[in-house]
Amino acid sequence: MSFGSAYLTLPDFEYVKPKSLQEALQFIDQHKDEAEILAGGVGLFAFMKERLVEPRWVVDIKAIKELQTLRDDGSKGLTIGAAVNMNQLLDFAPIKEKYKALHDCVSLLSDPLLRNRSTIIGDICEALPYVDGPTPLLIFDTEVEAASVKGTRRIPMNEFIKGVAENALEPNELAVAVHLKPPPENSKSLFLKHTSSSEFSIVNVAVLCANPSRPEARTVRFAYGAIAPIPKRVHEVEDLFKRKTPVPKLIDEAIESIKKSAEPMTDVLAKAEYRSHMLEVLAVRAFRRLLGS
Amino acid sequence: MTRTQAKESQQVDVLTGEIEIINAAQAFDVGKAINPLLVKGQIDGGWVMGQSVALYEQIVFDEQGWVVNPNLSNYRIMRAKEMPHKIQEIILETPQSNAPHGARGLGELVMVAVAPAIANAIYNAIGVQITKLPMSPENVWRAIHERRPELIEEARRKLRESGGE
Repeated sequence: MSFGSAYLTLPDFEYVKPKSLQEALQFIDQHKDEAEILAGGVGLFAFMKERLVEPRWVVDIKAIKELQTLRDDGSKGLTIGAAVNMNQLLDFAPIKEKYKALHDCVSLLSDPLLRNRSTIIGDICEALPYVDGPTPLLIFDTEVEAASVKGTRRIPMNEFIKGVAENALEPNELAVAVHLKPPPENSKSLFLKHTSSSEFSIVNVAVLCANPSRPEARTVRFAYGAIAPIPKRVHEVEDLFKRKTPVPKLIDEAIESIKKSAEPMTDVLAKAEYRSHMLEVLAVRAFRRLLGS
Repeated sequence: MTRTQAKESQQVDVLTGEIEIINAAQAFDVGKAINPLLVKGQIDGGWVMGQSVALYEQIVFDEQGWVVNPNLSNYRIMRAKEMPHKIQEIILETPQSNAPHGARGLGELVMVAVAPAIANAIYNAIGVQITKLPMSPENVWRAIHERRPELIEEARRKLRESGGE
């Protein structure tokens, strides 16, 4: 890998802008690893400048009508297309009302200018540990719709991220949409994150809760990200909250369980010890806000 | 030479290591402020540059000496939301006998005292002296963790009992 002045300029590439999904799928089927997808370009251009990726083709998907979908189907859930930018998500009322954790997450991302470009699907496809998008999607049982010339398939969000910068897509596949399942009746959700020495999260959490004061009907969902290469939904915690034990005690037990399941990493953004501590802080704050007491 | 003093008040969240600056004040003996508004603007700008260096900016190298954070996304600089709630600029004028109008230069002197002022305000608040820049949340938390771990334990206990809010 060469550095130095390479930081400043993009490597040579060819730019294509397909007008239909079919055209785009055929193109990436033909060129596979030689083609990179451009949605917002927020990640892609930075990686290209650093020569982490050097695609021969950059395929701009912003002009594809099928990928502009942003639709709330009530009991069937929410669909977000690959070309929908972050500001569109913020302006879409059903997200603020029913998918608050996602709304929180998007509103905390960078600034309005970058949110005009960046996309939630770009975020999850990037699959870097510090991206925030996957965490709120996990608590809404999201599925990623992947399309290729052969057809489409759905990949659960918790199987989509495979490692650092690795996702479950085949080289000839395009992530065309994410499908969020509707949250339980009367539920609330929220998203918190913490940054230290950069703009990137070192830990983030998403929590959903319905019927906090009635243990038998209580639903709690919890996911965290940015502390390890793969964001995670912690199901053990969710069962725990069904018990009749007083809430503060349940939160204490949940934190122990979460800390046991987490394997915080040390990298350039933060050390494992601090990540583990901040995971506890954010999780306690999030549980307390949604479960009261 | 131009003399300088900086002072400020701030809040340290011992649980997270985050710092919020409430009041910032800097005083400079500039000899003669030929354009006082320009001097004040220079002092405000200097505070921002100084706070950015004190709290956020950091170049990280790998083993071969390459910079691993060459972008503004990971080389963090100060943003508008992190401005002190208030900045005070104090201009003193003791004329310089051998200079035009008695004026002295101000220049980048306006950023010099900012990091020590913030570090001393942290010491004043919690008794932990920080000697390493940047004073990022993690570095501040680590310093407290090493020297006054009881503060963090106390804050953790409060968080568990009352949500810390």
